[in-house]
Amino acid sequence: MRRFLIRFVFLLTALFGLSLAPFVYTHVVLPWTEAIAALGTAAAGLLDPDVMAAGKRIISRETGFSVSIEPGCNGLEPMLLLAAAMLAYPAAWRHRLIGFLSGVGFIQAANLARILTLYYLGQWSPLLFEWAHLYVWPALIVLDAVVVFLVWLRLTPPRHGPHAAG
Amino acid sequence: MIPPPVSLAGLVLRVLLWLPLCYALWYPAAPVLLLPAVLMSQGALHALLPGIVDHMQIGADGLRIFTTLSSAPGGHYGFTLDARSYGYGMALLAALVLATPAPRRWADLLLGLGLLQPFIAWGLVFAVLRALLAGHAEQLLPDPGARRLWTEGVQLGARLGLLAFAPLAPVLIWAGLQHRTLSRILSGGSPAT
Repeated sequence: MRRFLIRFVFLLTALFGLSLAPFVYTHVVLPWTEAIAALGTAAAGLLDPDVMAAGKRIISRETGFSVSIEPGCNGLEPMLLLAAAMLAYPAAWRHRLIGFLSGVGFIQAANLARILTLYYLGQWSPLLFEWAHLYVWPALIVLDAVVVFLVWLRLTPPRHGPHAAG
Repeated sequence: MIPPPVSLAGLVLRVLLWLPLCYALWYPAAPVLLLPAVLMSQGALHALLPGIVDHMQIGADGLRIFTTLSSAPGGHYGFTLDARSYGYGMALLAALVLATPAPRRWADLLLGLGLLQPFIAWGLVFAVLRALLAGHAEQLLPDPGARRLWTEGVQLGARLGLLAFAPLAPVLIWAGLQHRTLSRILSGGSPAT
């Protein structure tokens, strides 16, 4: 377990550092954020004809209220957490890949729920919007990644026997 | 005494039950709980920018920063930060630790909250630096080269504090403190190795 934690912290630091590098930030993080914003606006538009999309903003035609999807609202950090944890654990690459892709699906599903709930909460109660935006959803998204990892860990046979990560 | 093991689903359910209670207790208590991080960040800012940050005061409405920079004739520049947005991980950590059926949970919680303080302080320091550079960059750093370098470094540090440390540090601390119980839960309840 100690070895796993050391490898995990090292990989997480490396992946996060890489995501902050100007080239990666411009060519990967920003386009990824725009794609998530497009997904969010498309999903909101499907559910509600009152919704209008403008770039990375979701706007209510009726109230004029809008939310903008920025870096930090793109689910990237929990994805890095998941990637670091799965790479640190001694599993087969096939299991890692399947686990990561499934995890990205779960994380982005929760992220989409975050975007949509914030859009509606913001129109209903600015106070609840602030609470959900700043304090609750960031924790829930990370928790989502943790649960995905723990379930994956439970389902994945370790590459070098049952106590390889310990 | 080792508490009875729970399943993974049970653990998740317990975390989700603890979380609202932890948030409800954390929000009003945040000014007190964040005090060590505020003191650490004040010390770091005094060391980084001697004589610029006069003092910092945490209250129910946020963290107020008083500087020696001039903003109006006879006045000094000051601003307020939402310190809670760097410290919500305390509620998450509390929910994770209290939901995990480990021995000495309350001691782990106290230790965990202590370990979290430097990560929160990091976020606060860079948030203050970002705010100072946004309004007074030329006054603080007359050299354009140093100004550019500092601005980029502070942006990176601020992003790291808000996007990485705030949500991820509680999870890392929890996993580190309660790894034996976590191993037991993941192995289906057999004794930890």
